[in-house]
Formats: sequence, C-alpha cells, structure tokens
Amino acid sequence: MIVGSRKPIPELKRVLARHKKVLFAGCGTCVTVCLAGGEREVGITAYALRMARKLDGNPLEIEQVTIERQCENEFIQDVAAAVERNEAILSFACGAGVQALAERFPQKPVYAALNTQFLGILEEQAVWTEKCLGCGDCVLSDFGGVCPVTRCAKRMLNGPCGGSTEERCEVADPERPCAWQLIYKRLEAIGQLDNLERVYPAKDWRPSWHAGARKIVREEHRV
Amino acid sequence: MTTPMEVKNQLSQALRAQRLAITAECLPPRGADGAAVKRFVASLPKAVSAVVVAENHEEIRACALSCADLLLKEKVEPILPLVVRDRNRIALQSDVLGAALLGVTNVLCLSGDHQSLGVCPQAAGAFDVDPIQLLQALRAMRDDGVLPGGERLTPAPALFLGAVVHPYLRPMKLNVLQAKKKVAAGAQFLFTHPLWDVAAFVEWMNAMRDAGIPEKAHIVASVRPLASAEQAEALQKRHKADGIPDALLARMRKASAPANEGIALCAELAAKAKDIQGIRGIHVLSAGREDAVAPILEQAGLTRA
Repeated sequence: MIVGSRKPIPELKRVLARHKKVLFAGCGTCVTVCLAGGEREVGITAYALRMARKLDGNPLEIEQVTIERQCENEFIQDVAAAVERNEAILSFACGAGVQALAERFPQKPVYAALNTQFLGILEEQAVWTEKCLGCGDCVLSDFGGVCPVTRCAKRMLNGPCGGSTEERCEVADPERPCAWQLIYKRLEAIGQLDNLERVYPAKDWRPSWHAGARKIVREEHRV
Repeated sequence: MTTPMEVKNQLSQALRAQRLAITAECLPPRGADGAAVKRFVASLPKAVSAVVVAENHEEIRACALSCADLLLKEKVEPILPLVVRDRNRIALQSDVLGAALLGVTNVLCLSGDHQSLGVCPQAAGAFDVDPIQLLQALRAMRDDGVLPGGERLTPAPALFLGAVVHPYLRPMKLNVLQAKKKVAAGAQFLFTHPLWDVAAFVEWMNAMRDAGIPEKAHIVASVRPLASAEQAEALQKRHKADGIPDALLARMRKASAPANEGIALCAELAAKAKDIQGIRGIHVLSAGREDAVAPILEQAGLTRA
C-alpha cells in the first residue's frame, strides 16, 4: 500500500493562512489503513487547526469529507458540490490523490496534508516499512524476493557494501537490516546462492522514474 | 574475451615485486590551495609507490581528478577513486577517459561512504551502477576498446583496476563470494578496509587464500592513524562493520599524546599486516593526516625505497 504521514500542524496552518473556509478531504483507501489521512485523521487535524486559528482570532471554517478513493475521478465527482461551497481543499490523500483533485477542480487551490512516503507493508501494529520503489523492471525473482533496489541504501545489485553487518545496515536512520544479508539468507534457504555468482548487469533506469513521469495505456481495455 | 591489456606502472610493478608495495592516501585540499599538494609530495617518503587521492570521503574537498593531475606533475603516481555515490555512469565513463588523457592509469572502484553518514546528508546519491558493474565496464573499455554503449575507443585507455574488500564482512561465505566476484569483474588489486581487529583480519585472509584470491589479485592491507579517542569513538559508532575493537579505543583514551599514540598504533598494525601471508602491500589511509605517513612507515620498518 501507499504509506504517508501527516504534515505538522504549524505547516498546515501556514499553508491555509489565506483562507477562511476550507474543505478537508480524507481518502478511504491506503492512507486510511496507514492511519494518516482517513476520516479519523481528518477529524483530529480539523479540531487542532480550528483551535489554532480561533486562538489567533482568525477563525477557520472547516467542512470534512472522506472520499472512498481520491485517485479516481468517479469517486471525486461525489464531492463536487462541497468543493464549490469552499474556498480551497486540504487533501489528506497521497500525492496522486492531491493531484487528481487539482486536475479535477482547476479553479480551486488544493493543498497537501500528508507527506507521501513509500510503497510498503504493515510490519507490526503501527509500523510500516518500505518494500518497493516502483522501478518498472522488477528484479525480485533474482534476489529471493528481497528488493536490493529499494532496500539497499546504495541500490547495489551485486552484493553488500562495506557497511553491512549481519545485524544491520550502516546507514543509521532508520535502523534496518542490510538488504544483502537478507538476500543472502533467502537465497541460501531456497538453494539459489548461484544467483549471486554472476555479475548482475547495470540497471536500465528508463522503465523507472528517470525518464520522467510514467504512463500506462492498456489498449485491449480501451473503449 | 580479448586478452587483458597489461599495464606497467609503478603500482603494478611494486605489487608484482618481491617486496611489499607501499601506498598512501592524500586528501585533496578544501580551499583553493594547489600548493598543498606540493607540500604533501615534499613530505612523502620515497617508499611510497602510488598515492590514493581521496574523493569526498568524509567531507567535500577538491575533486580527486584535479588532485591526481597535480600529483602527476610532481612525478607522483596517483590512484584515482571512482565513487559510484557521486557519479552516474555517464560521469564515471567520462572521468575515466579524462583521467586517461592526463596519464592516470590506476583506478579504484568503490561505492563510497553513504552520503547520509557525513559528507552531505541532504544530497541524493547517484548509485546508478555499483562498483562491480563499473569494474566490468572499465575492463571492457580497456581490453575491448568499447564503452558499455558499444562506442569504440581509439586508443583504449590503459587502466590498472582496483576494488575495495571488506575483511570483517560476515558470513565469510558471503565475503568470499564478493571478493571472487570483484576479481571476476576485473579487479587486479584489492584495498582492504582499515585493519583494526587483527584476529578477524587473519581469519579473513585465510579464507581469501583458500579461495585462491591472492593468486588473481594483489591484496593491499589498509591501516589508518587515529587522531584522538573522540575520533576513534565516532568511527566505531559510524562504521560498525569495521569493528574498531574496544581495546584500541581504551588505548587511545589512556594516551597522554593521542595523536602520537594513533601513529604508534597504526605502525604496529602495519607491522603486523606485513607479516600476514598473502598481503602484497600496505596502504596508509591517512584520512587527512598526511604528515603521519612518514613516521608510520618508519616505526613499522617500511621505509626502504
């Protein structure tokens, strides 16, 4: 899923400073699950900002709504009337959702309430870890299902660097295991250590973001 | 594959000779002071065959290539690091071709300390290719006269190719796999991370010998002078994989003149390294303490030219 975190209240307060009436739009998909931009977080943020603005003697009127999927026009349509009633939108969706709203409502200012961070998984209660960069040319089959492109801080494709220990990666923040130790263990467990013997070729980054923002057209499904 | 081009320079000849090869590290100046390189050369012991010009190792300095050129002008043979952290494959290829124009023949392929550990935590890392992929590309540039994209090079650059190896990387089986891969990709000489824990280093050298690595590539043991107990602590904390033993830290803490103690300690480690079977050279990784190179070599009994 897409994982994000809510921006600090002072930053949101600064961003909304020029407005008196704002629509807070949560998203019911990934960011609800990662406890960053769902109905609950919209409510808490609205409460905090309302209070902060009241203390400044410059009250902010907030309307709250949560769209089931902000990255799809079909769902965005449902809030057109609410958008019309407000000066601006504070979107609690991922970066895709924020931009979908901005494209759909060209005359309305749209602001981001979250920092969108990564494609990851729920590791344990309230802990998420990054697993995929969306590089467009998946290498997982060669590395025992552990992604070196995402999980090695140096994106090395031919084994660990000198900062690897069996416990962790030398890059300290956040603390995490060395991806190459995980790859080694996995390949050993599944009898595929020979994958590490040949030199893995330099990656073609064109399918990744490096050739600019990507677009997918599936002709067979076009109408 | 084409027959490898044999490059005969000071470093390759010293590594093939009976005696140990000696190399040292020089940090390019930070300010616009080209004369700093001249001063370094004047202090350099005759025993040193080649000098590694550090590339933005722990802080931003003048680029290694310009410093390598200044060394060549002073008749000192440089070893140019190619750091995949700072350059994508376009810049790496171009720098190697530029280095060849200047007469640089030794290159050392490495990933570089991750930028977030100190040099510039806010920077994006290039990490377009890894050091093994780079070695393979450079070997093809030299032996086949082609760039990775297929463009022909006339003439091909003469390159003596080096890589960095990690004596403390465990499990040992993974370590051996890595060293073998670096050699297979084209590494002709291997510089180790600094020697701190002698027992772990010897255990690693035994594994290297069992894998036949010293017959295929010259292994050069690095030693690094510690400047103070604080620096030793910071290094221990930052580079957990390099494992500075607590005993060394304690010795630095107890020393009344820590800078001198660091030199003495470094010389002791160099003296131990030279007796380890399979070691072909000693590299004094000065890390900015260029003035320490001469006393370290002297105290380690490595001064003969």
